Amino acid sequence: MLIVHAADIHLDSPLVGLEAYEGCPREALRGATRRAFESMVRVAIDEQASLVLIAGDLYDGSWKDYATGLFFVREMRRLREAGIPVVVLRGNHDAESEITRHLRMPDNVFELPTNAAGTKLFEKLGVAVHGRGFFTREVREDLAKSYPSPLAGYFNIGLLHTALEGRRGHETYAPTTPTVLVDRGYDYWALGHIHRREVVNKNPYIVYPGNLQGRHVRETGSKGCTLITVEGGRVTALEHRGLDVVRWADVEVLAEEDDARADVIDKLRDTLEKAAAEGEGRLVASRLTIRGATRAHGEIASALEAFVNEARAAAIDAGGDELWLGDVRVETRLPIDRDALSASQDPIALILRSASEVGADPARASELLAVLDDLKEKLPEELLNDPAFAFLRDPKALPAILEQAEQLLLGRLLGAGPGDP
Amino acid sequence: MRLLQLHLAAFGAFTGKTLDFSASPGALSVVYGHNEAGKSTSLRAYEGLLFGIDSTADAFLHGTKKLRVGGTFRSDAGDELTVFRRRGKKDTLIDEHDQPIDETRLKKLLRGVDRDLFAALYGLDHVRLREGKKALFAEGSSVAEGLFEASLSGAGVGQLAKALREEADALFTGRARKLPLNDAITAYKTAVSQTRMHATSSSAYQQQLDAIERAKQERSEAEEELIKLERSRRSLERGIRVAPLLAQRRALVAKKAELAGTLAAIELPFDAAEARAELSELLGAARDNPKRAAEIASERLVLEQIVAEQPEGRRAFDVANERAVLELLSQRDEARRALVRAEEQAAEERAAEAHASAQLERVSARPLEENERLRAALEAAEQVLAQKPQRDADVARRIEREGHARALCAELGAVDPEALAARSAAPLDQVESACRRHDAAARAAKDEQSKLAELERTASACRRERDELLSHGPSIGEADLTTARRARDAALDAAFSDGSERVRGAARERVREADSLSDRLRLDADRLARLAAAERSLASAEAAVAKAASSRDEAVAVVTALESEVRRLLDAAGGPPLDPAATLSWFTRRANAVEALVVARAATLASETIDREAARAAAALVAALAITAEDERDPFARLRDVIARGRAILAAETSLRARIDSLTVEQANAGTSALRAEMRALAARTQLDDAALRAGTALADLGLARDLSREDLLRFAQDTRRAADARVKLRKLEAELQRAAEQGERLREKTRFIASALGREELPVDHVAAAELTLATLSRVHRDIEARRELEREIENVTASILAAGGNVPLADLEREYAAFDVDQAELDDARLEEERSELERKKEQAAHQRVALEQASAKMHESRASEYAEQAGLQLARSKALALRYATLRLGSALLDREVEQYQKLHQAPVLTRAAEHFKLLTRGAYQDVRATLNDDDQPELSTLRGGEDVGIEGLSDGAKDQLFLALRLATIERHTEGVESLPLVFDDVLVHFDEQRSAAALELFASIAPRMQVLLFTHQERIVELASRLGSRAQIVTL
Repeated sequence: MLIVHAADIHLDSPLVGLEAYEGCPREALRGATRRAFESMVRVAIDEQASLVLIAGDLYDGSWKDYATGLFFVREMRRLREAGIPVVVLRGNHDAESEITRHLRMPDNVFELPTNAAGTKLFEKLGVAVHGRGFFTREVREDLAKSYPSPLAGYFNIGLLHTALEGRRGHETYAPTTPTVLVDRGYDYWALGHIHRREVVNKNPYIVYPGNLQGRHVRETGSKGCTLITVEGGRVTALEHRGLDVVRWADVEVLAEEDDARADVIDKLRDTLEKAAAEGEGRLVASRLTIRGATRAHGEIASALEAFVNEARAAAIDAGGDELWLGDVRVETRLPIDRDALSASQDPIALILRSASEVGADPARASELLAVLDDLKEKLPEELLNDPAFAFLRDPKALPAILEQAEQLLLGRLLGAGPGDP
Repeated sequence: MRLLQLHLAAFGAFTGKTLDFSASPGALSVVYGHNEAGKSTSLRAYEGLLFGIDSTADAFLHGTKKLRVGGTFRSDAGDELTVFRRRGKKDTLIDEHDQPIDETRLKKLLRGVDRDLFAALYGLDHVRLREGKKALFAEGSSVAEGLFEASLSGAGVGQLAKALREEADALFTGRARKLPLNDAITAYKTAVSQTRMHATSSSAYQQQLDAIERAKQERSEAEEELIKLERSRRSLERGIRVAPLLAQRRALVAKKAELAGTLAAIELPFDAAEARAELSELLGAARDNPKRAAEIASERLVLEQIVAEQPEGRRAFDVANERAVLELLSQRDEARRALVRAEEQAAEERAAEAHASAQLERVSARPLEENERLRAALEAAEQVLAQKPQRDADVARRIEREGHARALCAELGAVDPEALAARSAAPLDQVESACRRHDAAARAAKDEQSKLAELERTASACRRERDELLSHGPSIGEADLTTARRARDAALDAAFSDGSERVRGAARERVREADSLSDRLRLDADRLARLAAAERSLASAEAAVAKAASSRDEAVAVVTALESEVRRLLDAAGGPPLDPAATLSWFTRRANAVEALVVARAATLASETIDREAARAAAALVAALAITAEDERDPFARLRDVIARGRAILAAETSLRARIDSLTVEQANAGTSALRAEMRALAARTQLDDAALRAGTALADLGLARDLSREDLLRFAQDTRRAADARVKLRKLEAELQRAAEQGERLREKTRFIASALGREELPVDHVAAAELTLATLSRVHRDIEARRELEREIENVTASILAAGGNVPLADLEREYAAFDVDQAELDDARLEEERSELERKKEQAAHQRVALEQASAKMHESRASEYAEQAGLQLARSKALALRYATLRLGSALLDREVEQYQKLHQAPVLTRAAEHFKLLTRGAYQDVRATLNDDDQPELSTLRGGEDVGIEGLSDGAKDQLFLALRLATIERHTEGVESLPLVFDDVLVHFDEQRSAAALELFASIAPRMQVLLFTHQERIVELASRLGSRAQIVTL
């Protein structure tokens, strides 16, 4: 018997953090979450799965397009035609989703209750799926404790949307511990909520399959579902099946002190080539960060846009249609000794001291920030709330961007040569 | 920090060159080198020493790996550090033994300054001087920016601040729409709005489904109304169709009722038409019967005559019998012919057998065993005879080899080959090896001799070059130059103190001498370097000559030893004294002679053996043939003769044996054929008897003679068939008579039956007349009945039409429904209903269209583009973010720079201007007294100075004065920056190239005045600068490249 375990589908949730540019493989990006979900359904049909489990977060909570739900229903009908039942559970996103509230599911889809733990029995398969969905977005109680005891003679599966004791980047909803889950006596715990694949425990298996499609650069690596092979009432094989359409990569290039600009371009091209190869034929969406104290900083800072364009050209060169270079972060600096230089009276020392002094003085910081009033007024709410723009809300966050401004100045003043700022 | 020495160990064209500043570290250091002397190279070397060698441009002489530059530094605290730098990526800072040194030791001295910062803070060349001046005095540049500019060696501060603002403004402004960031934000907001607009809400979708349901309901209601209306319309239309038909039917039914009581109402128990036809047919036959009865009687008489003529006993003979008997007669005749053929053939074969026996009795042959023995002896003799060519070849080879051996012996100086062969000699391999080793050793000795001669020529050339360099006379040294300089300085001092023309002339002479010595020293340095190189080459060449002579002597000794070895080998083989080259040839020919002798001996032995075998074979064959043969001298000629005779006898015997075999076979074959023919005759006779018996029996059964011929039997058969045909025809005539009688009876019965049905009991006696009367009555009744039936069919047709028009509604129901139906009124009602139907159809169509539209809208909801717009929003948000961060960085950078310029002004303007005023006054020899900031017409501070008590704005300064002012400010800022901290040496590269002599002297005076506090290295290619610097005495030191 083969069971497909998936979670955190987030259908139609857009991929975040990708900036379009000339020559980027834009079409490949379209409808990525839908295509990943279609792939999961195809896998279930092709592999003649007996059951599909979805451990919550079918939709983004704020997403209101009912067409997304209709798409889900269409895919569920495909499974119905193949005779494959589906058990779903509401996650924190589904609890607040309007789509979830109104959608009518086909008769092969069984949703576990949200007011109390329930069980769906599949007599012919000899499988009992226990679970309880989220009735509201923020569930802070341990739902697992209310799950029923295992049924004798059945392969017992616990379906749960939880952060366990907590995972970085995810709200600690429905907290519980692996010990609680193990003590429940089930044969398999199908978890959802955490987007990174993780086998938390092996006896019994407690598994996060991860999401089907990474949605931003922090969700790197292969994404997909878990195929569970059950023979004789126990799990005999567990397989991760990559289904992502776009694979994210967060790559970093270290520019060394003696590197020239061309050396940095060569390095980033090599790094991007490797990143593209790790996509296994998929589109790789990457974020590139160039760090390091390097002589090339001046040259890079003097013509940053040209450098970024060259990096994008290198990306096209390295990956063609299989690589999308999203965010390019240039965090290089001059190879100077700040502390030693700060002791002097020269203008460079003044600039170096000033950046830290302004950051430490809210009044000066506010005064300096006045030059960005227009920007603050026009920026969309989403960006104003973005951590990268924290300095617009809180002067204490100013030093980070001031350091960039400082490096820009130093690069231009020292790296460009006379008469060429 | 001060640079005490710069070691140009291996850099550019320099090798082992040291620029030494340690003599007067507190003095202005002027590094002089004429064009192409390496001034730029030494500057690059200094930079490479401090920050790493980043180019291979200076590796053209020493190669990249051997590039070395070193330096000795002294900190203000007095600590000294000597380091070297090599080119590479790691551990490039090394000591004099190439061992890595921790980079932080040097970095500590540099105080965090890197290559670029070093150039900005501590460097100045004439290009940066000009650029800095340009920026300083640019229109719109503030005093503060000017000072900032001067402090960074012309980094273009003013332009940078402007560039940053422009770059930021090119990305975004609060009011713009099409700038990249404005555009990205607008695009993002549009995409978000589109996302919302295209998103399908669940309520909207539900409303859509409800509307579809309503449209379905409306359509369904319209359809029901239509059905009802259609029903009414159908009733009306049926009435219009049915009512006239009902009236017609009623009229026909009334007409039929009027026929009651007439002949037409009679119901006959049979079909009148059929009965009439049958009666007519019977009546016609009855009328023809008397005539046909007379014809039959006549025909019967003829036929009965033919039958009577047929003999009684032959009736059993029919066609089948005829064929069987004819077949038996054919078989009998055929068996008879076969018997005759077989008897004739048997007689022929017996005659042939007798002929073969007679011939055999006349021939005879030798016994077979004797022939076999003869054949074996012949084959053995022929095998021996086949060896004759081999025997002849052996004899020829023996003669040829013996001749060859004798010829070689003659060449080698020996008379008898046998004696030569009897003498033992060394193997040819050994001789060849010795000779080859001798040849190789001789060639090696020759090569060594050539090499020695070449090396001697090289040594001779080196010697000539050294002598040539030595012939230029003795070199001068640093001491000579020092003496000359002292003399020059003394002469200059004297010239300054005395001032007379003579003393100034002497001073000029001393200066020229010192310069001349300086030039010679530079030229001699090159000559000495070449001399040292020539000495090294000569020593190396002489050592190589000695080594090559030794190798040559060793090779000659080897050659001598090998010559002795070869000579020994020749003596042992009895050869004459020869050189090694001829020795190998002698041994080779000797070996060939011995080999030829051996081959000749083997050929003799082989030919003699074959001769003996030939003699033996001939004797054996003579015995087998039992003949006599002469004993010829040549055994092969005798053998060939005896074989020919034996072969002839054997051929005759073979031919005779073949003839006997052939006759024997013929005799046997003839006997066998005769026997077979006799057997066939016997069988034919048996068949004939059998066939004759069967044919006779069959004829007898027919009552015919047993030996009747075939022709008689055919005639008999023809008569029998004719009688049978007559009997058949008689039977047919009798049957025809019988049928006529039966028809007459049937006519009577039919007539009675019909008449009874028609009610006529009395009929004429003659059955033909009775039948005619009955037929006439039946015809009349039949006509009346047909008329009634036509009426009934019309009623049926109208009824069927009514039912068809009435939609198969029962007739009675229709009669009831349309009893009082008004057709005219119904047509009016139908028109009204048609209008109502059109209206309902329109409603139904409208509902259907509405439903389709709603379903299409619903389908579009399935294919919402909201997610596409959301993706677009994501892309635009990311773009906005990147642009906004870039904008913020540029704006903050610009603001920071503005702030720092202002800050710099507050902190440093007053002291820097005060110090710059002093420098400017010195540089202009007191022409200008001050440098200060004054407000212009726009109340903006700008730089100005005083000349002759009057304010002079920047614009009023000459180009040279501007250069001086920038230099004054530059030095003042450097002094200001390094207050309280240890300064790095200032490096000025040809900075005075545009200064005239007076200004240059003033600048040098200024440089010398600040040199005690911070080291000043002035690189120049101008001899006049050196001359001016030398006037500073101990306050300046000149280091020449």
